[in-house]
Amino acid sequence: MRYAILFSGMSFRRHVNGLEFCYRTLVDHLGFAPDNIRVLNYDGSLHAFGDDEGEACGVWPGDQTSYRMVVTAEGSRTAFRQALTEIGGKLTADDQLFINTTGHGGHHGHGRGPDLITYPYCERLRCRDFCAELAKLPPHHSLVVLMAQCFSGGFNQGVLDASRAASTFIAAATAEQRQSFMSFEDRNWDAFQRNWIAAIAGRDVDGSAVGIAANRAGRRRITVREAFEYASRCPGSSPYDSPECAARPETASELTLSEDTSATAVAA
Amino acid sequence: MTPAAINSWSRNWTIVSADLDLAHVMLPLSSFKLQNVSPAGEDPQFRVLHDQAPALDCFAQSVLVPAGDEQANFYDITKKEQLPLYGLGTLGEYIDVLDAMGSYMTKNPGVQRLQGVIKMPCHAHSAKYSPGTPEHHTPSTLDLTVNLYQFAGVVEGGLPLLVIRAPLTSRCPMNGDGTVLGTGKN
Repeated sequence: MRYAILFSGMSFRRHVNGLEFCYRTLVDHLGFAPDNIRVLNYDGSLHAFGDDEGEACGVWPGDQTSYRMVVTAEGSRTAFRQALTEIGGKLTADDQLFINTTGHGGHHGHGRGPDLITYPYCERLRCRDFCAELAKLPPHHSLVVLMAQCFSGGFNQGVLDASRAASTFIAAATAEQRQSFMSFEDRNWDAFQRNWIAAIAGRDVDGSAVGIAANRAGRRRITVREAFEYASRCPGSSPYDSPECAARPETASELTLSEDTSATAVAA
Repeated sequence: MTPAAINSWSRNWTIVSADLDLAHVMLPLSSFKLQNVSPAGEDPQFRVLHDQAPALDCFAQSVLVPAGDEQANFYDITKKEQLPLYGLGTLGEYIDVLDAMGSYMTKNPGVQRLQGVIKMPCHAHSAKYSPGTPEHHTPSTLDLTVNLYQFAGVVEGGLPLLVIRAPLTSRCPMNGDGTVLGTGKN
């Protein structure tokens, strides 16, 4: 089985858009069961910080249709722990877990950070607490983490160390001491998160094919490492981001988010 | 703000602790002076004056004006009666206060403060670029709202504490969250 947690705490509209893109990609292109996806956003709805009171959420800017993801809980520390606990109760040695965090990150410096900024009131989920929760999961096949918030690269080593998965890969939009940015070409998205997700399924937010498809060299699925390389260097990448990734073991770079979670297993 | 409260801003301040979001423009141990530049009888307007111009003057021509009307109590926010003077041995206490102030000011947007817009480079000019970043990239400058809060007499020796916070705003292209602490100078 494959499970996913999509998380954003103090979301801006662009972060909600990114979660929706991730949700649609998982369900429509990668075959995740909607029931196996937990969406934790802001106040437990499709709303975002800064939305006017009572304002409708509008349509998703990817294709101008209504949002489809079902927000299962607020983007809080408690909800994150509960989602991990719930999924942890189901995870087996054959299962994959995918976690996508976006929104805001913070870092006090002097070893006090990085943190994931959560709902409400910018409460902080510390890297060590995030990793401690991961360490409580039972052994499983693979863990893939995509982080788009500021200072997210500071989570990389901690996630590798804490993970009980046989294979773990983490992609971060930016280095531990650097900020991450929205796309300056289209303010509806954060560049790195959008491009990584577009690459993993070969489809951008509007459904158009992305250039990475030409590089597949006979394989049916894009690996997490290929998605990272694409998101780091494609024409739509942000020059202000500083992406970093980490894998354990090195072969975890060959993971995919498809049903056969190893690219080598589906090689032509 | 009362005239006394307005006067209390006009002094020298030293930045002592800054989240990484803001540390490249509000360098720890750098100093500046806040000065009321409005003519007598008119609404106060403050500017930041530097003894020595910093490499990145994010305040530049920023005008800071009073906003909010709610009182905030230092003990209620931090559960501390007082902060010791800043130093390596007390750094952790300052970061605890930094942390508490960030959440409190997000929860209570009506607290009395000075407010203005600063010019924020996307990163320090000295930052090392990751592989793939275009060469000769010059940081772009973004407008960022900041709030300045003051807590009188809460630092050892009766000094005031300055809290500078960049509140979340969806107009900002960065995904960070930053707070800075400073202390008044005698």
